[in-house]
Amino acid sequence: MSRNDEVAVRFEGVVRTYRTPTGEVRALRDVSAELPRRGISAVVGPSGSGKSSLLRLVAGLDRPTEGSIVVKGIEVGRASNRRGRAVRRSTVGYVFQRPSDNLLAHLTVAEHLRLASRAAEVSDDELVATARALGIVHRLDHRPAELSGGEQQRVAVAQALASGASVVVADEPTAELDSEAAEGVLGRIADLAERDITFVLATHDPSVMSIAGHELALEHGVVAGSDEPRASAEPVEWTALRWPGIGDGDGPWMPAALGGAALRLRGISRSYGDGDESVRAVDRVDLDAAPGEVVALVGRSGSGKTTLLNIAAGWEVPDEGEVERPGGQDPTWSDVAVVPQHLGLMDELSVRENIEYPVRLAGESAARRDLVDDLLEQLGLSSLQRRSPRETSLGEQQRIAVARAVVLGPALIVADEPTAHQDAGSGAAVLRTLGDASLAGSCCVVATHDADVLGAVDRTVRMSDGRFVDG
Amino acid sequence: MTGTDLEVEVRLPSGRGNPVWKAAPTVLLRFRSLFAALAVGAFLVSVVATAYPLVVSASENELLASAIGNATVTPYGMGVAYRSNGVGFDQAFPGSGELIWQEREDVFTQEAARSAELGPTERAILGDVVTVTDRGGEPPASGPVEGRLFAGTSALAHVRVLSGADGPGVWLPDYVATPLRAEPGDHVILHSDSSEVRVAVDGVYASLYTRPRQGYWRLWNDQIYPCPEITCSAPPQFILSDLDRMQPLSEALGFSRATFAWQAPAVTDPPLTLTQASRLAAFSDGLKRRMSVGAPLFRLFRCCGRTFHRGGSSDVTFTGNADLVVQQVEQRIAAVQGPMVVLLVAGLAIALAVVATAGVFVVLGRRVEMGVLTIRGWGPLAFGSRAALETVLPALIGGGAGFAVALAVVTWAGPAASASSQARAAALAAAIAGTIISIVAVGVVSGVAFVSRHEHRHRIARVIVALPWELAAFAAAWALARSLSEGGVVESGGIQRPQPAVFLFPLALALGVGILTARLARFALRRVRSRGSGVTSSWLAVRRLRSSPGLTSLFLVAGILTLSVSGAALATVASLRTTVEAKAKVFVGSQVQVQVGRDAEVVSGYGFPLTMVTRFREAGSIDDLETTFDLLLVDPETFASAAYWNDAFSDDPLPTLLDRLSTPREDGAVPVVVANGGGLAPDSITVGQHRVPVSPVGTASTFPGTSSDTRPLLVMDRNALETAFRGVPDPLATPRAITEIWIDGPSREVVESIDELGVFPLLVITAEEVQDVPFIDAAVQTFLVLQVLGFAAVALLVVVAVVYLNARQRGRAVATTLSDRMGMPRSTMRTASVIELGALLLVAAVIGTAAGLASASVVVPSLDPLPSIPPEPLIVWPLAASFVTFLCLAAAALAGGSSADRGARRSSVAEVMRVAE
Repeated sequence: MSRNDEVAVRFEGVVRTYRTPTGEVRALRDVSAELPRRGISAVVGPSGSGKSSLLRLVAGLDRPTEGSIVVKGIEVGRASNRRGRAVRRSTVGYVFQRPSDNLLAHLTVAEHLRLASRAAEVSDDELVATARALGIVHRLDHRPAELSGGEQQRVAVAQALASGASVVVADEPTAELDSEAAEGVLGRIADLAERDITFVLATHDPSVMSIAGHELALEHGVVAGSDEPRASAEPVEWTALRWPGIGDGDGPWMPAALGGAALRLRGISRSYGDGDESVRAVDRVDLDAAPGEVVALVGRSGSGKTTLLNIAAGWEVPDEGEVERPGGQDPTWSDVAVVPQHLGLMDELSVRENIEYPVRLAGESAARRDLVDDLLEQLGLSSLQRRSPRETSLGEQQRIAVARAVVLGPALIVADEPTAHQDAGSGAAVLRTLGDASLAGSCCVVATHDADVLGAVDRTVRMSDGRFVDG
Repeated sequence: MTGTDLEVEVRLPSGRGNPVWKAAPTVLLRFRSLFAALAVGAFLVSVVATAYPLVVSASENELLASAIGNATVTPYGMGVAYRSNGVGFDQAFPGSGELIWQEREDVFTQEAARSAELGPTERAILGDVVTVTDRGGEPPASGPVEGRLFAGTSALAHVRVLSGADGPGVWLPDYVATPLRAEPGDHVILHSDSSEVRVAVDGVYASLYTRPRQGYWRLWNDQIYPCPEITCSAPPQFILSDLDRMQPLSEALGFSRATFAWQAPAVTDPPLTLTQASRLAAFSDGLKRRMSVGAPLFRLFRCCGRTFHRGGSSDVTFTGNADLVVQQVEQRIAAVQGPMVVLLVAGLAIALAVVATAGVFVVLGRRVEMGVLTIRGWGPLAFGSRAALETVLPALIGGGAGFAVALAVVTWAGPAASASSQARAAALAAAIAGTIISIVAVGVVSGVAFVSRHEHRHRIARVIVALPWELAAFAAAWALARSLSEGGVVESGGIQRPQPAVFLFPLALALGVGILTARLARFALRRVRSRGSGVTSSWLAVRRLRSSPGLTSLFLVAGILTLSVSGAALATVASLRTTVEAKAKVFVGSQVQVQVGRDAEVVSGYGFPLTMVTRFREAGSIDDLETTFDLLLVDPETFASAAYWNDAFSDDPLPTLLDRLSTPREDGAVPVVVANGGGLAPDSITVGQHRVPVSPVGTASTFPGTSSDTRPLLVMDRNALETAFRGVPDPLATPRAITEIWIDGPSREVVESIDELGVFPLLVITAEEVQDVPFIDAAVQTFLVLQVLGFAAVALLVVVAVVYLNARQRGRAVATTLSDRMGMPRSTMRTASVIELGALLLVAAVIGTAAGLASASVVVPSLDPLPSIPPEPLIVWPLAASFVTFLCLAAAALAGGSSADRGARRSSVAEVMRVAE
């Protein structure tokens, strides 16, 4: 076997520059690398480092501004549109970062698998086996709206596997999965990797990195360790945030609205559906969280974490139980701020304007200008502040949402998977930001399956089937 | 182990086939706004495609009905007729022994029966001239009175009966009855050279020569109106008898021969269509050929001209005017068809633009589906085909509804005549084709949209997109304007029609202005800098507009295009109508003009306002300048009550001018108003050989009675002229001086009441007749429909914008809810949506209206309906309509913006959040 046969993907001098209304974005700069034919290659690096851009180039969804990309002997960088489509049909499978982006709302899981397997000779038994391996066999006749985010992601991976592609490209495939689901997905991926299928996975997940036989590290669009200058490299300054009205070293500052507990949940239950279809998402849950405390909610996808956060945030009313939160039934952003999974950023505003938005509405623009600057810097967003959120990566968008949540120093911050799309460094920045907020008096309730988060919180609460469980 | 991991046997639901394709036909039912937009687009395409053949056919048939309805044509003029003189009552056809007239009647009837467009054959017989005396045998004191025996099927139904009832006698024309003082029930004696017969008088009718020519009598016009001049003495008028008594009566008077005629009128129920009329014209032509020399029927009919035979000679004529009527209709319809084609193209363009826009959203509005299928290797063909398949259902609904609506509207609100069955079949085919085109268009546009979004484009494509297309549009507009500067009317084959530039110029100008405005708006929005530290509605609206530069541009271009076309159409229609009305009434003087003899006197008590004037063309010259002028002599007391007047004609009101005209001047000069004089201020004029001092007491750009754009018109009080010319030869004793009665009132009623004037009308002209300029009518109709289409497109654009804003805001439900929590007042959010939509509509309305008016100011002068009659084309600015449009758009922005904001709050945030888990 020649050396060429051992290489699944080869990058030579790949440059990708995007022209945006706010200027040029150089996503990749002279990337040269090889990914082996066998096994799993992990593409790692901070969010915004160019991982997604690189994966899109491998799948032929985009073309490099300069350079060459050869996938299984096919020059996809310069392939015709027709050739590119053929590659996507039969050679490269792709899994989008956001689970819901991989699915058609009107098709069932089974139909998605059939659609994916049309170009390949895959039997029904094999499709069922794939679904079983990913824990979605009981969802075959369900539509995306009836699936949790984790289940959607597993269906997306199943589709890529069902397509019979010899190269599967997945952008953070486990980012929104709980550890058990991630384990199932990765186990199946590892099995298939043994069968001459190349996996190229962009990730920050250590569990993914642990099964990867090869790693390609990117940082600011260049291969980490290369001699390329990092023009936009932005060192993270771990300086204290300049909360208005607090001098350095003055200690915790308690938001005025707080009394005793920042959040008190008593006997909370919430069900969906009727009759046999009824699902008890949250079942008689009690929770107290104090000002300045960071509480982590962990559990599998579908365990009820988001429902509980919705109730805590005031988006949903429980069927049973009592909720006491800052601001009562009609909290303001100063009372309860949120970092939802659907980030709710305003595309019409720049990154900075999104963070400033609650400040402007509170009439505190002048008072919190320094804080906004600090947040931009701490979360690695300074160079992006004039861009639209659409021109940033998902991880960067998530950090914008975190900054927006803490900027008014609210009594309660509810964050749903705030580090799901972050690399280790950015994840640490997010945690530090939440920690700074808690030091300033905010209570943070964070749903997560990120082990790094668990090490940075004051208390961890585990959920399963809508209940808190020990351990 | 959870239930989901149990190793039970699981099978995939049965059913092979691609689930995406299987779901495609009904998938848009999930996207109601998109489904509705596609249905509306297909509806518009179908309406336009269907309406075209229906309107053209109905117009043709209306014009045909109008032409046949003309008294000189009638169904008889449309039919076929044969006449031959010198035919003996008992003359046998050589070789057969049959009476020749009987044989001819049988064969003519058989031949006519071969055409489904002809009714039953009618016979007529014209006898010789007889002298008529009263029952005493005495001629009247005024001299002998002659008449001519006539019998014809239903002849009595085609005369104006003065008195009498059907009976065994004859009907006398008043030309005969009046001198004899014969009345119904009397007896008169008919004399020939050899005999006389006493007959009873059944009734008296108005002599035909005093009546307008009629279709029924067209075969006999040479016997009724022997010379064209009205002053010729009347020929012997017809004494009407029954057909059965014609031969005995003639033979009793010693006449053995007569002129025989047969005619088969066109059928009237149902009215003929143009296709049938064309068939009838062909049949008529064929029958004539079959009767002509060497043809099978020649021996019997010996058609046409003067033929000589054993019995002597005959003047034989065959007439059938269907070909002339068809030609006339085709001339008029040709002047309509050109603009109709432009209208069809414009309508289809607008309708297909709607379809295409919806087609773009079919792809781009479903981002996730597009992404999923792209990674499955779908290409533009597959995307386009799927979009086409998805469009079938809404297109069928919209196309079917469009066909039904077009059919109903054309039937109930369109031309008075109905469309032919062929046109209905063509309309159905057009509706089907339109529906298919809509489906294909969505497929093509979706494929292209996919390519533009997901496929790698060549650099040339990016260059093409970046080109300043407004320059191309302005260049096209400039070329079209140059073309219009040489006249907006083209003539070919004697038919005038508006040239395509008339309609293309507003489109080109609007497109250029639209693209330029969109470019400037994008430029301006990029440079807006925020001031202040709060969140205001305008702060948010500006950012929303700036964040969607493509959609902002698209909306501005579409809005300006549609509003500009509507504005141009509105102004052009108003201007053309005003101009043509002004010109026609200036030429006629009022609504109706009756030319009468110089000494005619109108009886008092006539039902409509009237004034009597004398129009003297090239009456004389203005001294010192040697400029020829026209003279209008008016009666200041009655002129204002009947003459047409527009205050734009003069700085002075009409009553003031008339008052000055009737006020004698101390210096003896005759007061005159100088119209169309270009600043002339004559001191004296010369009419004939007589020089008269005059004194201008007013000026006007034009004046009722103006008939030339090159000669000034001097308006003078009739009495003042008589005073000035007292003692000298009458200057009005010339054929160029025509006495006219101007009557103001509804044309039809005025014309029908002219008998009550007590004068003999030499000529009657109505303003409506003068206004009837086919190419102007065509232009007006075309712009009217463009106007309606334009406003419909504007309305649709607003709906599309609201639907888009609604969908966008619904997609931002989380952001909106977060905003609420952050303290964003709902009113501010709602106002931002209103400002966003309102700003786009306001810019589109202001710029579009201005561009439309600019277009009209170029187009209207190129369409001078009657260039020889002043004034110049008048440009009317439809201020009220523009104001109403602005109000409607403001209301639409208010309602649409509020609705869009409500859309954001209809989504359940909890549901969105939960699904995210």
